[in-house]
Amino acid sequence: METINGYAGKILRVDLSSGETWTEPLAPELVENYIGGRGFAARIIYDETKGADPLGPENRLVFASGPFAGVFIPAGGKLTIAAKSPATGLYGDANIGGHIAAELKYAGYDAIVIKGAAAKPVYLYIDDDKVEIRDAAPFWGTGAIESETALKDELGEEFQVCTIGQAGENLVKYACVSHDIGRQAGRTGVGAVMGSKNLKAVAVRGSQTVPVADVDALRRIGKEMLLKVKADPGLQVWHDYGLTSVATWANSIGAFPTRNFRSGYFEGIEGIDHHAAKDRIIVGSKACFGCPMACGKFSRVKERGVWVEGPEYETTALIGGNCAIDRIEDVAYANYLCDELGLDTISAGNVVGFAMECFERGVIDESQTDGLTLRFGDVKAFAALVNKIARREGIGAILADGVRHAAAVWGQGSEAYAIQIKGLEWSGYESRGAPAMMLAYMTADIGAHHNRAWAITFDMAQGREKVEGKAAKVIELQHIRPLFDCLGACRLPWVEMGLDLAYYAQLFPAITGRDRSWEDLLLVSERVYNLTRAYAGREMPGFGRANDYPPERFYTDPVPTGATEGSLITREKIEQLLDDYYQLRGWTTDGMPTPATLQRLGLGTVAEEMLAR
Amino acid sequence: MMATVSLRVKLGGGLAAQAGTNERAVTVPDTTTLRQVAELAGVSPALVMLYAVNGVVRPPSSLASDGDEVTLIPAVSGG
Repeated sequence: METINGYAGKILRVDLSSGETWTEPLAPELVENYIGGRGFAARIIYDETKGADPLGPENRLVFASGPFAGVFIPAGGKLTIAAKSPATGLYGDANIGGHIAAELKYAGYDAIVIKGAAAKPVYLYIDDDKVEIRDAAPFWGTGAIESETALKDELGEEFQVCTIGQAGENLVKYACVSHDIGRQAGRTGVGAVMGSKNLKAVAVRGSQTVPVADVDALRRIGKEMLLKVKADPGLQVWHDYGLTSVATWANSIGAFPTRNFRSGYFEGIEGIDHHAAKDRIIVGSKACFGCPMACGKFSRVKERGVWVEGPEYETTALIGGNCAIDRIEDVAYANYLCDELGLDTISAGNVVGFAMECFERGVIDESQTDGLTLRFGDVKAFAALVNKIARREGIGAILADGVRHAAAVWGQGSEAYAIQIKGLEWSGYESRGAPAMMLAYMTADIGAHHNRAWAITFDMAQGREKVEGKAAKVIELQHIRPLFDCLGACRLPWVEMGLDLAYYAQLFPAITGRDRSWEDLLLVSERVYNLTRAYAGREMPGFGRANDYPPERFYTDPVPTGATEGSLITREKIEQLLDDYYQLRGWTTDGMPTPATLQRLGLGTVAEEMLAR
Repeated sequence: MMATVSLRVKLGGGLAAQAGTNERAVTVPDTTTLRQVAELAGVSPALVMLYAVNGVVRPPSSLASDGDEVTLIPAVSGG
């Protein structure tokens, strides 16, 4: 097998229907045109899931790393987990830290592609070249962290394990994949796809190395990056407080989602902020592979007798503010429940907040909630609901399919405050007073998530009412941030510590031996973005501009209090943002890539397929 | 005569690029809040997520004492 620097050189293929496993060499055109991680996943999903039922055996579940994973750089340990999303029907992915990306490469694989469905619960065992599909009956029905712990006890601590909880087993459309006792690939329902395949876990151990083109250069650049991170004045604060510290700032600028996104200001912030977390629950820091930042916080809720990694910002925002839960111990407990059940805390916080608002408005009553009283601020109601959701019991069967589905079932105008785009619930930034951030959510290819572009500081710096120039910034970020997912590296050293992007540009040739400019790498990111958009057009006839609109609430319900009091986004602004965005991307006014744009990006066959429809 | 305090202002992450330096020495009236210190250091307070004085996080309305080290941490997103 030819050595490809920066890569293990193989893809592991698994057919759970037939029980077969095999490897195939990493195709040079995949490396050249898609780099890795999210890029590999997007191309594989595009090629292999046409017309697939997201929860059917024909869907693919892809675990993919990139060339920066498992090598000596700060935070080179990100894995993309992707599938056709059951939440949206579109391309879906989530990324996860911990140690699984590095371990997978050390086992000799850049990616795992899983198709089919097992007849009974199984887990995938990978120990270098030894690959087996093993019985998972003893673990089925157990929580995500409980089963990970049990598998590590059985196989050995050095195995890196991904699992699903009861939510994934029961095909909850926002079930996540869990790893490293509290890290999650949270979004788009990849855990449900895993559950649909009767796959409880993937356990990996590797003993091999990753070939690198220029070890001396890698060591020099990697060391410089590490020293730079360690010298940053903010590092100690990140160590002490972690990402929960974002909450107070978000609240002060009116961006903290509160009571199902009615507001961007939560009056109970002091009960759940970084001081409350540090003083009352945080017991230590936790880092992913090769990371000097350790932004993960491990917490103990004494009164409940539980431990949890977190709550980080998104969880604090969606369980705390969005459900008006104002005690950090309660937020951490709810976080623990979601982690163990295998639920994405962002979607779960949205779903519960939506149900609480529906109850408050009389859209639903006790006869539809299995007797539960759903009030904002009630952690017992939160706990009862997520337990029902994960098992699809009673009202949980409706809420398990997300807010868009629940609004369609309950009606009475509730669609207006089902806070989602494309079927994916909105993450932690209220954006009525932030047009760039709003556009970032509207055009994120997986639905309303912030990881493709986080543009709210651009709104703050350039003017919160302004629309001009916002689309260009969103596109720029949509190429930079997802590039990290292709490379297999965490973007937080860049985001939090301000590590210069030039370091990553230098790393690429040092690791891979390929002389490619940063602009050329960004072109790969643009290619991937257009590919997933084209996929949406193919898989969902009629997909286009209408799928990018935000929920009605943001046009009609002014923010009641806080820094953005009275703010709305107007339809005129939304249309202007989309017009600007589509034009800059080279898309039609209905938001689809033109054949010329696809050709420019080397996606000629995709253009031909589009024209043939 | 108005009393003044001399402070060492350290800029974390992307704030350093914004201000063109990662450290500044400033002398300001002792009534100057941390938020105002950020402005004087060339940083928009809206982009500052946390203010730390000698490593301890403080509210933006706090005052600093002579000789303090003020660290400004930029607003960032997670995941």
